[in-house]
Amino acid sequence: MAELKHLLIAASEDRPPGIDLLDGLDLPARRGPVRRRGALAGLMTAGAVAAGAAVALTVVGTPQSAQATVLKAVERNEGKPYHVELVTQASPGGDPFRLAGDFNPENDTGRLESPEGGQIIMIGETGYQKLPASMQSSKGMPKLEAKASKGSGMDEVLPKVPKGWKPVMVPLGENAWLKLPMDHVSWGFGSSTRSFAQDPQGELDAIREADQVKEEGPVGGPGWKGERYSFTTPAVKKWFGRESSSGTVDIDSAGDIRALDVTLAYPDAKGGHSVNFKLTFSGHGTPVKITAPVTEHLYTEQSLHKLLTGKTLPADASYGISIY
Amino acid sequence: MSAGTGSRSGDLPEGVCVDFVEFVRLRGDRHLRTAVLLTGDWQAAQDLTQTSLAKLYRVWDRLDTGSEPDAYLRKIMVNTQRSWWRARWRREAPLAAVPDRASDDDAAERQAVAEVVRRALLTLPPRQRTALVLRYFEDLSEAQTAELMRISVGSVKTHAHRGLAALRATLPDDLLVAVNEGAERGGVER
Repeated sequence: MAELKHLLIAASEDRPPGIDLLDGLDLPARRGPVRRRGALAGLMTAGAVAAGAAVALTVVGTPQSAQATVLKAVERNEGKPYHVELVTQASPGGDPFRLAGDFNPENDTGRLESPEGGQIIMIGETGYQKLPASMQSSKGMPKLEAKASKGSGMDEVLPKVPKGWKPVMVPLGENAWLKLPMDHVSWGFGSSTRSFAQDPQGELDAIREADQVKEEGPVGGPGWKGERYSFTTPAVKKWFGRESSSGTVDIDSAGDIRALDVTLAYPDAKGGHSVNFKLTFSGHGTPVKITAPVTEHLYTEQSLHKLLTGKTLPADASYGISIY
Repeated sequence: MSAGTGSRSGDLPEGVCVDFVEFVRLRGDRHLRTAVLLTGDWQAAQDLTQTSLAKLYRVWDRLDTGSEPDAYLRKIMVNTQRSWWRARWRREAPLAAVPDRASDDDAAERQAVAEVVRRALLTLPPRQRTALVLRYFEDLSEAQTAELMRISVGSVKTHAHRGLAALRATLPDDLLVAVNEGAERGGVER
C-alpha cells in the first residue's frame, strides 16, 4: 500500500513554520535527578536497585490501584449501553440544565432529551435535532444593522425590531428534524450553559487523564453498593486557555459506574468560569436501539435556512438552533 | 524540518528530564505528522501532540528503558484524540489562522495536495481515519492497530476497507489513481 502511504506522507509535509513542540509544554521540574527507571538501574548497585524499586512501588503502587479500578470501570462503560441523567450547571450564574437519554458507546450512538421536548440523536458523526412545529421566518424583516455599544462591555448590540413588523411563523411539520454533522450540534444550544451539552462518554474519558485518584469510602444508591473515588486532572493548555477537572466517581460492586460529578475549571476565563456536570448511570447492558428519526419532514441546514430566510447558507457555515 | 525547531532548552525549568527533551527533539516531528493526519490541521495537531507529550512526561521516569516511548506516546495520542472526539459536544472549534507560506509554485502545490488529502481524511468517520493512519502512515500491523484502537482485528479491516472506499469517492481523480493502484496491488484486507 505504498501509494496510499505516499499520499499520507504528502498530507503531512506542509508543516507551517513556527511550531515548537517544547514551547508551552508544561513540564514540572523534578526534585532530584530523574532518569527512566532502567537507566537508573544501570547506575546503581543491586542493593540500591532493590531499595529504589521498593520506594517506587510504595509511591506509585497505592494510587495506581484506585486509578486502575476507575479506569477499568470507564472501559467497562464503553462496552455496553446505558441510561443516563445529566445535570449541567455553569458558574457563576448559570441555571441547571437537565437532559436524559440512552447511549450505546459500542456503536457510537446516543439519544438525549430535554424536559421541554427537545431531542438530539447521535449516530456516529451525524446528528439529528428535533425541530419545533414551526419557526419564525425572517423573510420581509427590515434589515437590522448591529451597532457598537458604548461602555456596555459588549462588542455590539442589536437594535429593537421596528414597530409594525410582525413575525411570520413557518410550519415545519409535527415531527420535523434537522440532520446535521455532529460538530455543528455544539452550536445548537442557546445559552452559555446549554452550549456545554455533553456526551457522557466524553466526560468519563476525562478520568483517563487523572493523575490523582483516591478512594473516598463506601457509597450506595437504590439497589446498589459501591465505592466513591475522587480524582483530579492537571490543567491542560488549550487554545482558549487552561482547562482542568476534578470530581468524584461512584463505582458499584459489579464494577459499573453509577455516578460522576465533575467540574471543569477555566482559570484563565474572566471570573474563574467553571462548569459542573452531574451524571447518573443506570440500566447497564439493557439493549438500546437508536436509529435515525423516521419522518417526512427532514431538513438539512441548507434547506431550513432557505425556508426561513429565503437565502442560501454560506459554504462551511453551520446552522445552530436552540434546543427547546 | 526536525522536531523541536527553535531550541529552547535554556528556557526549560531546572530539573526537567534532559532525555525527555531530547526525545521530543528527535521524535516530536514524526508524531506531529501523525497528529495532523488525525486532526486535519496543524494547530489542532500541535495541541494534540503537546497534550500527549505532557502526559508522557508524567510517567517518563516510570518507563523502563526496555519500553518503547514512541509506542507509548502513540497510544496516548490515539486515546486523547478519541476522548476529544467524544467530548466534541462541549468543545468549541478553534479558528485556525492560515499561516504565512512561501509563495513558490512547488510549495504551493505541495500544500494544496496536502490540504486536499487532509480534507478527504476529515470526511471519514474517526475510526476509519485512525485505522488508515495507523496502518498506512505508522505502518502498524492490523493486530497493533486493533490494540491501540481497542477494537478487534476484524473491525480494523472493516474500518480500513470502508475508509479507503470513502477516500476513493472523495479524492480528485488525479490523486485517486495512486490510491486505486495501491488497492489493486495489495488492498487493505491483507
